[in-house]
Amino acid sequence: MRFGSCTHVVSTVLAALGLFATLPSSAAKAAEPVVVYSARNEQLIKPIFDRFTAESGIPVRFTTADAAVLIERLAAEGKNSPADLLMTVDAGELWNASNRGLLRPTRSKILEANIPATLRDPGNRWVGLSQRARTIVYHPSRVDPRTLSTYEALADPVWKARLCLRSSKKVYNQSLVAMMIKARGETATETTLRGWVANLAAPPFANDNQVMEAIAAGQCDVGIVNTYYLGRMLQKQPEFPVKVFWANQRGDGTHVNVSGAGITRHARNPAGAQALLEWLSAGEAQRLFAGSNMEYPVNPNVEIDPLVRSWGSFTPSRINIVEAGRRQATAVRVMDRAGWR
Amino acid sequence: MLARWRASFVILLAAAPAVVVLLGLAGAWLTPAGDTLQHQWRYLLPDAARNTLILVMTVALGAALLGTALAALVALYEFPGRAFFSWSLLLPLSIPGYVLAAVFAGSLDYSSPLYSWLREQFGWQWPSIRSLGGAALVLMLTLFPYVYLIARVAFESAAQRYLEAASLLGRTRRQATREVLLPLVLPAVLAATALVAMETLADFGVVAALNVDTLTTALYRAWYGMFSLVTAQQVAGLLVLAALLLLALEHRARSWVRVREASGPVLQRRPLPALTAALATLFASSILGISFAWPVMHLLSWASAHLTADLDARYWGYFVRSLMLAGLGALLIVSISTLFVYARRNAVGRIARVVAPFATAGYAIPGAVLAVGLFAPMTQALPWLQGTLFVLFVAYITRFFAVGHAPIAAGLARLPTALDESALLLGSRPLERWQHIHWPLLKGSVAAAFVLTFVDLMKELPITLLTRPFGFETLAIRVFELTSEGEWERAAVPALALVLAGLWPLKWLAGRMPHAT
Amino acid sequence: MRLELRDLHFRREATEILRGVALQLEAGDIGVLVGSSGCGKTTTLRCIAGLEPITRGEIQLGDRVVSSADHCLSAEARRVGYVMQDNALFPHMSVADNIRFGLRKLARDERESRVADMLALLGLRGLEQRLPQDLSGGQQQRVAIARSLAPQPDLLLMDEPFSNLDARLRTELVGELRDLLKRLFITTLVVTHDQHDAFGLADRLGYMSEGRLEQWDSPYDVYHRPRTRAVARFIGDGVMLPAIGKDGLWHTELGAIEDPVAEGAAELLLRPDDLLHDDHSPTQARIVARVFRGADFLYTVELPSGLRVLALAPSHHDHHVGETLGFRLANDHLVVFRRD
Repeated sequence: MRFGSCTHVVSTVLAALGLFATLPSSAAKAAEPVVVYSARNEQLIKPIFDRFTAESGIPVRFTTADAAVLIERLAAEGKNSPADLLMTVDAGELWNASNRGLLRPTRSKILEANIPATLRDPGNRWVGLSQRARTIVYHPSRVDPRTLSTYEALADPVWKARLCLRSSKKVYNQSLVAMMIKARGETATETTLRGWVANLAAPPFANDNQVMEAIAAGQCDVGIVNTYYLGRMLQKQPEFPVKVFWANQRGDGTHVNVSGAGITRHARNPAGAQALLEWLSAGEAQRLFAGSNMEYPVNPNVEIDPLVRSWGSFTPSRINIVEAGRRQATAVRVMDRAGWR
Repeated sequence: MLARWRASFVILLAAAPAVVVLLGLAGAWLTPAGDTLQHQWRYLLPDAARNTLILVMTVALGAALLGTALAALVALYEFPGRAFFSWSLLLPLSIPGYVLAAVFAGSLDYSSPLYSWLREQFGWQWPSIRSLGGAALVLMLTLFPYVYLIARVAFESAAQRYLEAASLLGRTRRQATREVLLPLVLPAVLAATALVAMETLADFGVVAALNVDTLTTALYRAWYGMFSLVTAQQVAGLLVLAALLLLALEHRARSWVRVREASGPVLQRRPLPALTAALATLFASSILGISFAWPVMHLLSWASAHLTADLDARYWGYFVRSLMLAGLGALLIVSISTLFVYARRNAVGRIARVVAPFATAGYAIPGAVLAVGLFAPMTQALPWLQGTLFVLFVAYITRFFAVGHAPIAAGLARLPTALDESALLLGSRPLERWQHIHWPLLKGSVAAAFVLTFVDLMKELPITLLTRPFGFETLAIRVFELTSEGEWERAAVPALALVLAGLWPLKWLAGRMPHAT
Repeated sequence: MRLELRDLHFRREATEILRGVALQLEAGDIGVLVGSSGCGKTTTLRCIAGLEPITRGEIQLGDRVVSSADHCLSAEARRVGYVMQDNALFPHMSVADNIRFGLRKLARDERESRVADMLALLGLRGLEQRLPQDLSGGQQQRVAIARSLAPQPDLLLMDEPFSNLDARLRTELVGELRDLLKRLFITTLVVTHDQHDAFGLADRLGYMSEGRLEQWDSPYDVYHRPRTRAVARFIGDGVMLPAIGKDGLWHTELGAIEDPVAEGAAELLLRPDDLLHDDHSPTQARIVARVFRGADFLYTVELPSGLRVLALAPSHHDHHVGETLGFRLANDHLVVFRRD
């Protein structure tokens, strides 16, 4: 054990000092590795990649960073990029990457069969791999869920000083607003956002956890969050007094974003990357990919995590998720105009 | 002494990466980028610029006052715990700003247990920490040790005889300190304050965690939210302009006083009267408490639940790689800074003189913008560098040059040129001169530069994220991985490891600094 | 104001630095302490200034005891001026500001006229706005003196005030300074290691060694009646001439000298002016070195026993090294140190 950790240290130092580059692992000789640039964080993808390697014999190398930064890196590297796959936690970034010509189209019967059309790029350059529902949450003792209906209804003055929102800097909110613009247009959306801002009980928070904690502490009564944050919260505190309400069920459905991936324009191992994508879209991999973070699988045939299932089923938005990216910049402008910080 | 052309060459080489980045930012202003910037001018930038200005001014002023006051206390007076505070007041440097911001938000905001309890029991209310004032407080508490460290060294090397001369002319110790000693340490305080101001200018972590809109958040909004890197670079250009203005101000302010190293006996500390001494101890411990002990305890309580789950053999690797990157990076920066400072002492060429100030401007550019600004041209020009740490170190040097440069430049400026001249007349070779004359006198400053850069590099995130080779995880990256999806409690484990890793060099530095006898 | 030190002791950690220094300096007098470095001169000044607490004894200024073992009036309350060895001019203040520094309590008009007086007195006019680093060594020295004198201190202390000046400037400044101090009637205690400065300035002269003041007298007495060998050796040039006393005579290599109490083995102090050049003297010695000093020659000659003594000769008596020189004893008083 002692010996093992020492050699580990030594090899790390050698790798860093000697070569300045990671030494190719012996497994790489067996099969061409798939190289992933991922904005989805390490602890969510590493176990799944390990499993893929074990099953397929294809090694996976990856690096993580913010998607915007990875995209610039991809663009700067151009033909020399080692990346085969770009993975993000948001459709907007995938749209941006494909818009800049950094992703290549892939026709795959498996992907088409496993992933609903609304969660895929119409140009086949990327696919969603898990769904992240962003909906209304409320404090059960202060809010009667029958008074809740749509995101837009939260602009009503009855919610004055009762609403908590996360910062508009987060892409999740930007995607939500982009989809609202697609459904109802810029002007109506701006009016809604102004209503939200007027109803805020506290300045916008830096993350969804803070929004839920504020609701629990009584600073506000309702908020809009990604459900998996609540899932994590409930794992730690099963009695956490915040409940999910599925928004816009009578209309255009609850907003979902995706964590997804696309094969890069200059991929050296597109076949390996496609194999990885296809493997991720089905079966146990799909269940793990979504379940490890309490997200919803994109593949409707895959079982949902029991805790997540307890929130009930919902109708997701029927608009193709690509609109989230296409209108994201507009959404940010509308948010700026409405004064949502 | 470096030959003149060699001196110019060193300056140009050291400034080259910064110049590349700055040219990129300047180029952004010539690139059409739609009306994103106009939109930002109309809705975002006036407020953002105002907030940035207020933030930079309050943090600089606060850190300067706090740092100088603590430095004066520790250097000039004897009170219970002085020896302990003398080094431990450096510890807040090891706490990344975004960590302190998260701790403050988690423990002082409306929903925190403490606030909830006080509110319910006593009806207490206080302004939200998630505000401009809160951000200023957090930044001040993480950045004041820069001023503290540099001012303390200045106080301790100021000669006793100035104080004595003042007291013989009828001044009490306190009056003498204010009228004579403070003006003497002012150049050092200004240099440190300029560092604090630049760091504040470029801060993203703290303002994002507390959701305060500044020029940096406007910049990221354009880039991440509106996919307009060009607009982001244009805003970054504004930051650089502000930084250059700051540097010019600092330079002017410093030229008021040209103080050479004072010779003679070093300061003797005075015991404080009992009550004042108790107040001094209370003051120092409360600052140390809120800026270090409290966040560490908070992290410990967060980490305790996850220690067994997250702490495994991988941490060896994170730890070693963090130390290695920061150590090697700091070594590079300090070596280049030293060469640069010498070169600047000797360089006469006009180009070198014009270019030199730009070398330190990188500190005001947010790390991600700087990383991308260097990465793109470097990978295109030198594609074979891919997968190496070369780009990473170049970016480190570009961004943190100012931190290594300031203490060494201040140290060399205190050495009289007569020293060089007399050594030269005695026929010593440059290397001998360095080894026997400059090094013994400069090593305190070099050590300070090394540790300051080291601690900064340990915490560094955006550059490391973008430019590290595959699978090259460090403690800071681990913190990022866990916090990017809001898992603050798990992130406490690597955050604590980060603080721990910063501890020993800070302790070591404290032991190395010149001490009054 | 009159200064008196009584049994002054000072200890830093385990080292006894002053071991019972006692002296009196009358109001308006200039006292000078000489001694080799490390003898405690500077420490004595620092104790008088109130910069160091004393461990035993008393320091009295006028009719007030300012330091004793259990009491130390703080420096800022003593009205003592102190010109430190390297001046300690505030590097960030102009000449005028340095001088003005000690005048805070005066009204503005009075303060400015005092500054002007000081500038005039020390010949610093026109340099008001300069920074210390832009002045020559002599000018810096004058500024330091002006700064210390400006508040009209009861006592002025000066530590090696001429150490970084060239010889000519030194002689000039010594004269000027003595005139100035006398005119202002300022009691002054000066520390120097240079006896020429000491003779030029002093009303009272003291020699310190190893924390003790070995003698405190008029310069004439210190020179001509040194109380210890150390004083004799340090002040003025001179040689110890072995002598055997018998029947009212000291028998020496240079002849016999009358002294009613001559008895036993002793050494006689021989100053250069105690030996007169005389070609007809029976005592002849070989010249081994000579120093031309303008008005006279100082010859070092070697007696047959190998003892080297100093002799003065008027400057027209130009002899060369290697020649023999005749001379005779011409001492008007004897300084005898008995050998134990």
